[in-house]
Amino acid sequence: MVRLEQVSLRYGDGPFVLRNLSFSLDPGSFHYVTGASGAGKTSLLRLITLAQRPSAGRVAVLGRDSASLNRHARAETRRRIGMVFQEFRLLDHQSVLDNVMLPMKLIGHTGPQVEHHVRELLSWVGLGDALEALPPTLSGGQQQRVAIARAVISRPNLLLADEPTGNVDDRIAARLLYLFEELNRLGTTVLIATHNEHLIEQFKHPVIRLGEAPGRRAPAPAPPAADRPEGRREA
Amino acid sequence: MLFARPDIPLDQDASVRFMPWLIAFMVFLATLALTSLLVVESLVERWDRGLRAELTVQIPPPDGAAPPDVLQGLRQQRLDKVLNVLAATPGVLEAQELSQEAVGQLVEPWLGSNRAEVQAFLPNLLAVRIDPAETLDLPALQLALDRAVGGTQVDDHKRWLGALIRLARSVELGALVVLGLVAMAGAATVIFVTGASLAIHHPVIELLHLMGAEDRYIARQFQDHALRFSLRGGILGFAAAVGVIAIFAYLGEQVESAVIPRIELGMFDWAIVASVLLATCLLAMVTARCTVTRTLGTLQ
Repeated sequence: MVRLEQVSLRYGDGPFVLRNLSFSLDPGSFHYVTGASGAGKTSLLRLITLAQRPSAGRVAVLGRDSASLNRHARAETRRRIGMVFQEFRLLDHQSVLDNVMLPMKLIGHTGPQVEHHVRELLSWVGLGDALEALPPTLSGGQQQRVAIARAVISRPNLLLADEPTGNVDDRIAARLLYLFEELNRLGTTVLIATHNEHLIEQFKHPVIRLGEAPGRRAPAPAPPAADRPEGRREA
Repeated sequence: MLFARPDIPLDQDASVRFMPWLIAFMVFLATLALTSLLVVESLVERWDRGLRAELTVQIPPPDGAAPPDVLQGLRQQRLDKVLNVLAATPGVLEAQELSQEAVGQLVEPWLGSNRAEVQAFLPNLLAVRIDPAETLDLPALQLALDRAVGGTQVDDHKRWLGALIRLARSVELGALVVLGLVAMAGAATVIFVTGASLAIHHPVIELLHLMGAEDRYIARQFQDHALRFSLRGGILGFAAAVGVIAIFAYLGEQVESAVIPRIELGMFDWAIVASVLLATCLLAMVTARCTVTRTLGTLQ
Protein backbone atom coordinates (compact mmCIF):
# COMPACT_ATOMS: atom_id res chain seq x y z
CA MET A 1 0.00 0.00 0.00
CA VAL A 2 2.78 2.42 1.05
CA ARG A 3 6.49 1.75 0.80
CA LEU A 4 9.36 4.11 1.68
CA GLU A 5 12.91 3.04 0.86
CA GLN A 6 15.83 5.01 2.25
CA VAL A 7 13.84 8.24 2.05
CA SER A 8 15.44 11.51 3.07
CA LEU A 9 13.87 14.93 2.92
CA ARG A 10 15.18 18.44 3.32
CA TYR A 11 13.65 21.74 2.23
CA GLY A 12 16.10 23.60 0.01
CA ASP A 13 19.50 23.75 1.64
CA GLY A 14 18.05 23.38 5.14
CA PRO A 15 18.69 20.54 7.56
CA PHE A 16 17.28 17.08 6.89
CA VAL A 17 13.74 16.70 8.16
CA LEU A 18 13.75 12.97 7.48
CA ARG A 19 16.80 10.80 6.87
CA ASN A 20 17.09 7.26 5.50
CA LEU A 21 13.55 6.37 6.48
CA SER A 22 12.28 2.96 5.34
CA PHE A 23 9.04 1.20 6.13
CA SER A 24 6.03 -0.27 4.42
CA LEU A 25 2.35 -0.39 5.25
CA ASP A 26 0.37 -3.41 4.14
CA PRO A 27 -3.12 -3.01 2.72
CA GLY A 28 -5.71 -2.93 5.51
CA SER A 29 -3.20 -2.08 8.24
CA PHE A 30 -3.60 0.60 10.93
CA HIS A 31 -0.57 2.55 12.16
CA TYR A 32 0.33 5.54 14.22
CA VAL A 33 3.30 7.72 13.39
CA THR A 34 4.52 9.66 16.35
CA GLY A 35 7.36 11.85 17.49
CA ALA A 36 7.88 15.21 19.08
CA SER A 37 6.86 18.42 17.40
CA GLY A 38 9.15 19.01 14.43
CA ALA A 39 10.03 15.34 14.13
CA GLY A 40 8.76 15.30 10.57
CA LYS A 41 5.31 13.72 10.95
CA THR A 42 3.60 16.23 8.70
CA SER A 43 6.44 16.06 6.17
CA LEU A 44 6.10 12.28 6.09
CA LEU A 45 2.38 12.60 5.36
CA ARG A 46 3.14 15.14 2.62
CA LEU A 47 5.48 12.63 1.01
CA ILE A 48 2.77 9.98 1.08
CA THR A 49 0.13 12.36 -0.33
CA LEU A 50 2.60 13.11 -3.14
CA ALA A 51 2.63 16.79 -2.17
CA GLN A 52 6.37 16.61 -1.69
CA ARG A 53 9.14 14.81 -3.54
CA PRO A 54 11.81 13.10 -1.44
CA SER A 55 15.32 14.54 -1.59
CA ALA A 56 16.56 10.97 -1.79
CA GLY A 57 15.07 7.50 -1.77
CA ARG A 58 11.89 6.07 -3.18
CA VAL A 59 8.24 6.49 -2.20
CA ALA A 60 5.58 4.15 -3.56
CA VAL A 61 1.92 4.80 -2.81
CA LEU A 62 -0.96 2.49 -3.70
CA GLY A 63 1.50 0.36 -5.60
CA ARG A 64 2.85 3.20 -7.76
CA ASP A 65 6.27 4.77 -7.58
CA SER A 66 5.75 8.50 -6.93
CA ALA A 67 8.63 9.45 -9.25
CA SER A 68 6.96 7.82 -12.22
CA LEU A 69 3.54 9.42 -11.82
CA ASN A 70 2.41 12.06 -14.31
CA ARG A 71 -0.07 14.77 -13.29
CA HIS A 72 -3.11 12.71 -14.23
CA ALA A 73 -1.89 9.59 -12.42
CA ARG A 74 -0.95 11.64 -9.37
CA ALA A 75 -4.45 13.14 -9.22
CA GLU A 76 -5.98 9.70 -9.67
CA THR A 77 -3.85 8.31 -6.82
CA ARG A 78 -4.73 11.22 -4.54
CA ARG A 79 -8.44 10.63 -5.07
CA ARG A 80 -7.93 7.25 -3.41
CA ILE A 81 -6.32 8.88 -0.37
CA GLY A 82 -8.31 10.59 2.39
CA MET A 83 -6.38 13.28 4.22
CA VAL A 84 -7.16 15.03 7.50
CA PHE A 85 -4.98 18.10 7.71
CA GLN A 86 -3.69 19.41 10.99
CA GLU A 87 -5.02 22.87 10.18
CA PHE A 88 -8.25 21.34 8.71
CA ARG A 89 -8.07 23.31 5.44
CA LEU A 90 -11.81 23.59 4.95
CA LEU A 91 -13.36 25.78 2.26
CA ASP A 92 -14.58 28.70 4.34
CA HIS A 93 -17.07 29.94 1.76
CA GLN A 94 -18.82 26.60 1.46
CA SER A 95 -21.26 24.98 3.86
CA VAL A 96 -20.31 21.98 5.97
CA LEU A 97 -22.40 19.82 3.64
CA ASP A 98 -20.61 21.14 0.53
CA ASN A 99 -17.19 20.68 2.15
CA VAL A 100 -17.88 17.04 2.85
CA MET A 101 -19.43 16.54 -0.59
CA LEU A 102 -16.25 17.79 -2.27
CA PRO A 103 -14.38 14.45 -2.53
CA MET A 104 -17.51 12.87 -3.99
CA LYS A 105 -17.67 15.64 -6.60
CA LEU A 106 -14.03 15.01 -7.47
CA ILE A 107 -14.69 11.35 -8.14
CA GLY A 108 -17.81 12.25 -10.08
CA HIS A 109 -20.40 11.01 -7.57
CA THR A 110 -23.19 13.47 -6.85
CA GLY A 111 -26.94 13.34 -6.44
CA PRO A 112 -29.53 12.85 -3.70
CA GLN A 113 -28.25 9.41 -2.66
CA VAL A 114 -24.75 10.74 -2.05
CA GLU A 115 -26.10 13.78 -0.24
CA HIS A 116 -28.16 11.51 2.02
CA HIS A 117 -25.01 9.54 2.77
CA VAL A 118 -23.12 12.75 3.61
CA ARG A 119 -25.91 13.92 5.94
CA GLU A 120 -25.83 10.58 7.71
CA LEU A 121 -22.09 10.74 8.25
CA LEU A 122 -22.27 14.32 9.52
CA SER A 123 -24.99 13.32 11.97
CA TRP A 124 -22.79 10.48 13.14
CA VAL A 125 -19.92 12.86 13.92
CA GLY A 126 -22.33 15.15 15.75
CA LEU A 127 -22.79 17.81 13.11
CA GLY A 128 -26.30 16.95 11.95
CA ASP A 129 -27.60 20.36 12.94
CA ALA A 130 -24.75 22.29 11.32
CA LEU A 131 -25.07 21.11 7.73
CA GLU A 132 -25.54 24.58 6.26
CA ALA A 133 -23.12 26.33 8.61
CA LEU A 134 -19.97 27.90 7.24
CA PRO A 135 -16.72 26.58 8.76
CA PRO A 136 -15.61 29.93 10.30
CA THR A 137 -18.75 29.86 12.46
CA LEU A 138 -17.80 26.46 13.96
CA SER A 139 -15.55 25.68 16.89
CA GLY A 140 -12.12 24.12 16.33
CA GLY A 141 -13.44 20.70 17.34
CA GLN A 142 -16.40 20.96 14.97
CA GLN A 143 -14.13 21.99 12.13
CA GLN A 144 -11.91 19.03 12.85
CA ARG A 145 -14.89 16.70 12.60
CA VAL A 146 -15.87 18.25 9.27
CA ALA A 147 -12.32 17.66 8.05
CA ILE A 148 -12.48 14.03 9.18
CA ALA A 149 -15.89 13.50 7.58
CA ARG A 150 -14.50 14.95 4.35
CA ALA A 151 -11.53 12.60 4.47
CA VAL A 152 -13.56 9.44 5.00
CA ILE A 153 -16.70 10.12 2.95
CA SER A 154 -15.35 8.55 -0.23
CA ARG A 155 -14.16 5.40 1.56
CA PRO A 156 -10.53 5.94 0.50
CA ASN A 157 -8.03 3.11 0.13
CA LEU A 158 -5.62 5.00 2.34
CA LEU A 159 -6.51 7.40 5.14
CA LEU A 160 -3.88 9.80 6.45
CA ALA A 161 -4.66 11.96 9.46
CA ASP A 162 -2.44 14.64 10.93
CA GLU A 163 -3.26 15.12 14.62
CA PRO A 164 -6.95 14.34 14.02
CA THR A 165 -7.92 14.55 17.68
CA GLY A 166 -5.91 17.62 18.61
CA ASN A 167 -8.93 19.87 19.06
CA VAL A 168 -11.61 17.55 20.45
CA ASP A 169 -12.38 16.23 23.91
CA ASP A 170 -11.68 12.63 24.90
CA ARG A 171 -15.22 11.46 24.21
CA ILE A 172 -15.22 12.82 20.64
CA ALA A 173 -11.62 11.64 20.13
CA ALA A 174 -12.66 8.10 21.04
CA ARG A 175 -15.66 8.33 18.73
CA LEU A 176 -13.42 9.46 15.85
CA LEU A 177 -10.96 6.65 16.48
CA TYR A 178 -13.86 4.19 16.38
CA LEU A 179 -14.76 5.70 13.01
CA PHE A 180 -11.19 5.20 11.76
CA GLU A 181 -11.17 1.62 13.05
CA GLU A 182 -14.51 0.93 11.41
CA LEU A 183 -13.12 2.22 8.10
CA ASN A 184 -10.03 0.11 8.66
CA ARG A 185 -12.20 -2.97 9.15
CA LEU A 186 -13.84 -2.17 5.82
CA GLY A 187 -10.41 -2.32 4.17
CA THR A 188 -9.00 1.20 4.38
CA THR A 189 -5.34 1.43 5.35
CA VAL A 190 -4.97 4.02 8.12
CA LEU A 191 -1.96 6.07 9.16
CA ILE A 192 -2.45 8.58 11.96
CA ALA A 193 0.16 11.12 12.92
CA THR A 194 -0.23 12.01 16.58
CA HIS A 195 1.72 12.76 19.69
CA ASN A 196 -1.23 11.76 21.89
CA GLU A 197 0.26 8.84 23.82
CA HIS A 198 -3.01 8.33 25.68
CA LEU A 199 -4.76 7.66 22.40
CA ILE A 200 -2.00 5.27 21.31
CA GLU A 201 -2.42 3.40 24.58
CA GLN A 202 -6.18 3.30 24.38
CA PHE A 203 -6.44 2.11 20.76
CA LYS A 204 -3.62 -0.32 20.29
CA HIS A 205 -2.02 -0.31 16.87
CA PRO A 206 1.59 -0.45 15.62
CA VAL A 207 3.58 2.75 16.04
CA ILE A 208 6.22 4.31 13.80
CA ARG A 209 8.38 6.62 15.90
CA LEU A 210 10.33 9.42 14.25
CA GLY A 211 13.63 10.71 15.73
CA GLU A 212 13.77 14.08 17.34
CA ALA A 213 17.33 15.41 17.03
CA PRO A 214 17.19 18.73 15.14
CA GLY A 215 18.83 18.49 11.74
CA ARG A 216 19.06 14.72 11.96
CA ARG A 217 15.55 13.41 11.54
CA ALA A 218 16.46 9.78 11.52
CA PRO A 219 14.03 7.07 12.51
CA ALA A 220 13.98 6.57 16.25
CA PRO A 221 14.93 3.25 17.80
CA ALA A 222 12.51 0.40 17.25
CA PRO A 223 9.31 0.58 19.29
CA PRO A 224 8.43 -1.89 22.04
CA ALA A 225 7.62 -5.32 20.70
CA ALA A 226 3.94 -4.90 21.50
CA ASP A 227 3.77 -1.84 19.27
CA ARG A 228 5.99 -3.14 16.51
CA PRO A 229 4.29 -4.26 13.33
CA GLU A 230 5.75 -7.60 12.26
CA GLY A 231 9.04 -7.10 10.51
CA ARG A 232 8.05 -4.59 7.90
CA ARG A 233 9.04 -1.23 9.26
CA GLU A 234 12.06 0.40 10.71
CA ALA A 235 11.04 3.22 12.90
CA MET B 1 -22.67 23.74 -12.45
CA LEU B 2 -22.52 27.24 -13.94
CA PHE B 3 -24.47 28.82 -11.10
CA ALA B 4 -23.51 26.33 -8.38
CA ARG B 5 -21.31 27.64 -5.61
CA PRO B 6 -17.76 27.11 -6.92
CA ASP B 7 -15.04 25.44 -4.84
CA ILE B 8 -12.78 28.43 -5.43
CA PRO B 9 -14.38 31.68 -4.18
CA LEU B 10 -13.52 33.65 -7.31
CA ASP B 11 -16.52 35.97 -6.97
CA GLN B 12 -15.05 37.40 -3.79
CA ASP B 13 -11.92 38.77 -5.48
CA ALA B 14 -11.66 42.53 -5.55
CA SER B 15 -9.75 42.27 -8.84
CA VAL B 16 -12.65 40.67 -10.70
CA ARG B 17 -15.41 42.98 -9.48
CA PHE B 18 -14.69 45.51 -12.23
CA MET B 19 -14.58 42.84 -14.92
CA PRO B 20 -18.30 42.91 -15.88
CA TRP B 21 -18.06 46.68 -16.35
CA LEU B 22 -14.91 46.38 -18.42
CA ILE B 23 -16.44 43.64 -20.53
CA ALA B 24 -19.60 45.75 -20.91
CA PHE B 25 -17.53 48.64 -22.26
CA MET B 26 -15.64 46.38 -24.66
CA VAL B 27 -18.80 44.70 -25.94
CA PHE B 28 -20.37 48.14 -26.38
CA LEU B 29 -17.43 49.29 -28.50
CA ALA B 30 -17.23 46.03 -30.44
CA THR B 31 -20.96 46.02 -31.19
CA LEU B 32 -20.88 49.59 -32.47
CA ALA B 33 -17.77 48.87 -34.54
CA LEU B 34 -19.33 45.75 -36.05
CA THR B 35 -22.62 47.53 -36.75
CA SER B 36 -20.87 50.39 -38.51
CA LEU B 37 -18.90 47.86 -40.51
CA LEU B 38 -22.11 46.13 -41.61
CA VAL B 39 -23.86 49.40 -42.45
CA VAL B 40 -20.91 50.67 -44.47
CA GLU B 41 -20.59 47.32 -46.19
CA SER B 42 -24.23 47.41 -47.22
CA LEU B 43 -23.78 50.99 -48.45
CA VAL B 44 -20.73 50.06 -50.48
CA GLU B 45 -22.62 47.10 -51.87
CA ARG B 46 -25.44 49.42 -52.97
CA TRP B 47 -23.03 51.89 -54.53
CA ASP B 48 -21.07 49.16 -56.20
CA ARG B 49 -24.23 47.61 -57.60
CA GLY B 50 -25.17 51.03 -58.98
CA LEU B 51 -21.74 51.46 -60.48
CA ARG B 52 -21.92 48.21 -62.31
CA ALA B 53 -25.54 48.63 -63.52
CA GLU B 54 -26.04 52.30 -64.31
CA LEU B 55 -24.66 55.10 -66.42
CA THR B 56 -25.71 58.68 -66.87
CA VAL B 57 -25.60 60.26 -70.31
CA GLN B 58 -25.62 64.03 -70.46
CA ILE B 59 -26.67 65.72 -73.70
CA PRO B 60 -25.78 69.42 -73.80
CA PRO B 61 -28.55 71.87 -74.80
CA PRO B 62 -28.47 73.19 -78.41
CA ASP B 63 -26.36 76.31 -78.97
CA GLY B 64 -27.80 79.67 -79.95
CA ALA B 65 -30.97 81.50 -79.21
CA ALA B 66 -34.19 80.30 -80.73
CA PRO B 67 -37.88 80.26 -79.87
CA PRO B 68 -38.75 77.68 -77.24
CA ASP B 69 -40.65 75.39 -79.61
CA VAL B 70 -37.69 75.30 -82.03
CA LEU B 71 -35.32 74.59 -79.18
CA GLN B 72 -37.58 71.81 -78.01
CA GLY B 73 -37.51 70.26 -81.48
CA LEU B 74 -33.72 70.44 -81.60
CA ARG B 75 -33.46 68.87 -78.17
CA GLN B 76 -35.71 66.02 -79.29
CA GLN B 77 -33.59 65.41 -82.42
CA ARG B 78 -30.40 65.22 -80.37
CA LEU B 79 -32.09 62.97 -77.86
CA ASP B 80 -33.25 60.60 -80.59
CA LYS B 81 -29.73 60.38 -82.05
CA VAL B 82 -28.28 59.48 -78.68
CA LEU B 83 -31.05 56.97 -77.99
CA ASN B 84 -30.35 55.32 -81.34
CA VAL B 85 -26.66 54.96 -80.53
CA LEU B 86 -27.52 53.51 -77.13
CA ALA B 87 -30.05 51.11 -78.61
CA ALA B 88 -27.37 49.80 -80.94
CA THR B 89 -24.84 49.32 -78.15
CA PRO B 90 -24.53 45.75 -76.80
CA GLY B 91 -25.09 45.54 -73.05
CA VAL B 92 -27.44 48.52 -72.81
CA LEU B 93 -30.73 47.31 -71.39
CA GLU B 94 -32.69 50.51 -71.12
CA ALA B 95 -32.26 54.26 -71.48
CA GLN B 96 -34.74 56.55 -69.81
CA GLU B 97 -34.83 60.30 -70.05
CA LEU B 98 -35.10 62.26 -66.85
CA SER B 99 -37.84 64.85 -67.16
CA GLN B 100 -36.73 68.50 -67.25
CA GLU B 101 -38.66 68.87 -64.01
CA ALA B 102 -36.46 66.23 -62.37
CA VAL B 103 -33.29 67.76 -63.79
CA GLY B 104 -34.40 71.15 -62.50
CA GLN B 105 -34.82 69.67 -59.03
CA LEU B 106 -31.32 68.21 -59.14
CA VAL B 107 -29.72 71.59 -59.82
CA GLU B 108 -32.08 73.58 -57.64
CA PRO B 109 -29.59 73.85 -54.73
CA TRP B 110 -27.13 75.66 -57.02
CA LEU B 111 -29.31 77.48 -59.54
CA GLY B 112 -32.40 78.28 -57.51
CA SER B 113 -36.02 77.37 -58.01
CA ASN B 114 -36.83 79.71 -60.90
CA ARG B 115 -36.70 77.03 -63.54
CA ALA B 116 -38.06 79.09 -66.42
CA GLU B 117 -34.84 81.15 -66.44
CA VAL B 118 -32.47 78.23 -66.42
CA GLN B 119 -34.52 75.81 -68.51
CA ALA B 120 -32.66 76.63 -71.71
CA PHE B 121 -29.29 75.87 -70.17
CA LEU B 122 -30.17 72.53 -68.65
CA PRO B 123 -28.84 69.43 -70.37
CA ASN B 124 -30.93 66.39 -71.14
CA LEU B 125 -30.07 63.53 -68.82
CA LEU B 126 -30.54 59.86 -69.57
CA ALA B 127 -30.43 57.15 -66.93
CA VAL B 128 -29.01 54.13 -68.71
CA ARG B 129 -29.39 50.68 -67.26
CA ILE B 130 -26.70 48.27 -68.40
CA ASP B 131 -26.31 44.54 -68.10
CA PRO B 132 -23.72 43.93 -65.32
CA ALA B 133 -22.84 40.63 -66.98
CA GLU B 134 -21.73 42.36 -70.18
CA THR B 135 -18.45 44.24 -70.47
CA LEU B 136 -19.34 47.62 -71.87
CA ASP B 137 -16.68 49.42 -73.92
CA LEU B 138 -17.11 52.84 -72.37
CA PRO B 139 -14.49 54.75 -74.44
CA ALA B 140 -16.07 53.39 -77.63
CA LEU B 141 -19.54 54.40 -76.45
CA GLN B 142 -18.28 57.85 -75.48
CA LEU B 143 -16.78 58.27 -78.95
CA ALA B 144 -19.94 57.08 -80.71
CA LEU B 145 -22.16 59.41 -78.67
CA ASP B 146 -19.82 62.35 -79.24
CA ARG B 147 -19.95 61.70 -82.94
CA ALA B 148 -23.76 61.57 -82.89
CA VAL B 149 -24.17 64.72 -80.76
CA GLY B 150 -21.11 66.77 -80.05
CA GLY B 151 -20.38 67.34 -76.35
CA THR B 152 -22.41 64.38 -75.08
CA GLN B 153 -20.83 62.88 -72.02
CA VAL B 154 -21.07 59.47 -70.42
CA ASP B 155 -20.66 59.38 -66.68
CA ASP B 156 -20.19 55.98 -65.05
CA HIS B 157 -19.95 57.68 -61.59
CA LYS B 158 -16.67 55.97 -60.99
CA ARG B 159 -14.78 59.15 -60.52
CA TRP B 160 -16.59 60.39 -57.41
CA LEU B 161 -18.24 57.15 -56.27
CA GLY B 162 -14.89 55.37 -56.42
CA ALA B 163 -13.46 57.86 -53.92
CA LEU B 164 -16.48 57.34 -51.67
CA ILE B 165 -16.04 53.58 -51.83
CA ARG B 166 -12.37 53.92 -50.96
CA LEU B 167 -13.36 56.07 -47.98
CA ALA B 168 -15.96 53.51 -46.94
CA ARG B 169 -13.41 50.71 -47.18
CA SER B 170 -11.13 52.72 -44.90
CA VAL B 171 -13.96 53.05 -42.40
CA GLU B 172 -14.48 49.29 -42.60
CA LEU B 173 -10.80 48.68 -42.01
CA GLY B 174 -10.92 51.03 -39.02
CA ALA B 175 -13.89 49.12 -37.59
CA LEU B 176 -12.01 45.84 -38.03
CA VAL B 177 -8.97 47.30 -36.26
CA VAL B 178 -11.21 48.45 -33.38
CA LEU B 179 -12.71 44.94 -33.17
CA GLY B 180 -9.24 43.38 -33.10
CA LEU B 181 -7.96 45.80 -30.46
CA VAL B 182 -11.03 45.24 -28.28
CA ALA B 183 -10.56 41.46 -28.55
CA MET B 184 -6.87 41.73 -27.65
CA ALA B 185 -7.53 44.11 -24.75
CA GLY B 186 -10.28 41.78 -23.49
CA ALA B 187 -8.04 38.71 -23.67
CA ALA B 188 -5.16 40.56 -21.96
CA THR B 189 -7.45 41.68 -19.14
CA VAL B 190 -8.79 38.17 -18.60
CA ILE B 191 -5.21 36.80 -18.52
CA PHE B 192 -4.20 39.41 -15.94
CA VAL B 193 -7.25 38.88 -13.73
CA THR B 194 -7.00 35.08 -13.97
CA GLY B 195 -3.31 35.21 -13.04
CA ALA B 196 -4.13 37.38 -10.01
CA SER B 197 -6.92 35.00 -8.97
CA LEU B 198 -4.59 32.01 -9.27
CA ALA B 199 -2.15 33.70 -6.89
CA ILE B 200 -4.87 34.75 -4.44
CA HIS B 201 -6.45 31.31 -4.30
CA HIS B 202 -3.27 29.28 -4.32
CA PRO B 203 -4.04 27.60 -0.95
CA VAL B 204 -7.47 26.43 -2.15
CA ILE B 205 -6.04 25.25 -5.46
CA GLU B 206 -3.32 23.34 -3.63
CA LEU B 207 -5.97 21.74 -1.41
CA LEU B 208 -8.01 20.70 -4.44
CA HIS B 209 -4.89 19.20 -6.01
CA LEU B 210 -4.13 17.31 -2.79
CA MET B 211 -7.65 15.93 -2.83
CA GLY B 212 -7.15 14.66 -6.35
CA ALA B 213 -8.63 17.42 -8.51
CA GLU B 214 -7.36 17.36 -12.07
CA ASP B 215 -6.11 20.58 -13.67
CA ARG B 216 -9.15 20.58 -15.95
CA TYR B 217 -11.50 20.52 -12.92
CA ILE B 218 -9.81 23.65 -11.55
CA ALA B 219 -9.62 25.25 -14.99
CA ARG B 220 -13.36 24.67 -15.42
CA GLN B 221 -14.06 26.70 -12.28
CA PHE B 222 -12.15 29.64 -13.75
CA GLN B 223 -13.77 29.08 -17.12
CA ASP B 224 -17.28 29.10 -15.63
CA HIS B 225 -16.42 32.18 -13.64
CA ALA B 226 -15.20 33.91 -16.82
CA LEU B 227 -18.45 32.92 -18.53
CA ARG B 228 -20.51 34.39 -15.68
CA PHE B 229 -18.79 37.76 -15.64
CA SER B 230 -18.51 38.03 -19.42
CA LEU B 231 -22.20 37.17 -19.80
CA ARG B 232 -23.23 39.75 -17.21
CA GLY B 233 -21.02 42.47 -18.70
CA GLY B 234 -21.72 41.39 -22.28
CA ILE B 235 -25.49 41.64 -21.93
CA LEU B 236 -25.15 45.08 -20.36
CA GLY B 237 -22.79 46.36 -23.07
CA PHE B 238 -24.81 44.81 -25.87
CA ALA B 239 -28.06 46.32 -24.60
CA ALA B 240 -26.43 49.75 -24.36
CA ALA B 241 -25.04 49.42 -27.89
CA VAL B 242 -28.41 48.35 -29.32
CA GLY B 243 -29.95 51.40 -27.64
CA VAL B 244 -27.40 53.69 -29.28
CA ILE B 245 -27.92 52.00 -32.67
CA ALA B 246 -31.69 52.47 -32.34
CA ILE B 247 -31.20 56.17 -31.59
CA PHE B 248 -28.91 56.60 -34.62
CA ALA B 249 -31.36 54.68 -36.81
CA TYR B 250 -34.20 56.94 -35.68
CA LEU B 251 -32.17 60.10 -36.28
CA GLY B 252 -31.07 58.77 -39.68
CA GLU B 253 -34.68 58.28 -40.72
CA GLN B 254 -35.44 61.91 -39.93
CA VAL B 255 -32.84 63.08 -42.49
CA GLU B 256 -33.88 62.86 -46.14
CA SER B 257 -30.57 62.27 -47.81
CA ALA B 258 -29.18 59.77 -50.23
CA VAL B 259 -25.65 60.31 -48.94
CA ILE B 260 -26.18 59.63 -45.22
CA PRO B 261 -26.44 55.87 -44.86
CA ARG B 262 -29.50 54.43 -43.25
CA ILE B 263 -29.03 51.87 -40.52
CA GLU B 264 -30.99 48.97 -41.88
CA LEU B 265 -29.96 45.62 -40.48
CA GLY B 266 -31.60 42.41 -41.59
CA MET B 267 -32.04 39.31 -39.46
CA PHE B 268 -28.71 37.94 -40.66
CA ASP B 269 -26.96 41.21 -39.78
CA TRP B 270 -28.49 41.19 -36.30
CA ALA B 271 -27.32 37.62 -35.87
CA ILE B 272 -23.78 38.74 -36.74
CA VAL B 273 -24.02 41.68 -34.33
CA ALA B 274 -25.34 39.39 -31.58
CA SER B 275 -22.38 37.10 -32.18
CA VAL B 276 -20.24 39.76 -30.44
CA LEU B 277 -21.81 38.62 -27.17
CA LEU B 278 -21.19 34.96 -27.94
CA ALA B 279 -17.63 35.64 -29.12
CA THR B 280 -16.89 37.66 -25.97
CA CYS B 281 -18.05 34.84 -23.70
CA LEU B 282 -16.09 32.30 -25.71
CA LEU B 283 -12.97 34.45 -25.72
CA ALA B 284 -13.15 35.00 -21.94
CA MET B 285 -13.74 31.29 -21.26
CA VAL B 286 -11.00 30.02 -23.54
CA THR B 287 -8.51 32.64 -22.32
CA ALA B 288 -9.22 31.86 -18.66
CA ARG B 289 -9.00 28.12 -19.26
CA CYS B 290 -5.74 28.35 -21.21
CA THR B 291 -4.19 30.67 -18.62
CA VAL B 292 -5.08 28.32 -15.76
CA THR B 293 -4.02 25.16 -17.60
CA ARG B 294 -0.71 26.71 -18.62
CA THR B 295 0.01 28.03 -15.11
CA LEU B 296 -0.95 24.80 -13.33
CA GLY B 297 1.16 22.86 -15.81
CA THR B 298 4.24 24.64 -14.52
CA LEU B 299 3.53 23.63 -10.90
CA GLN B 300 4.84 20.40 -9.43
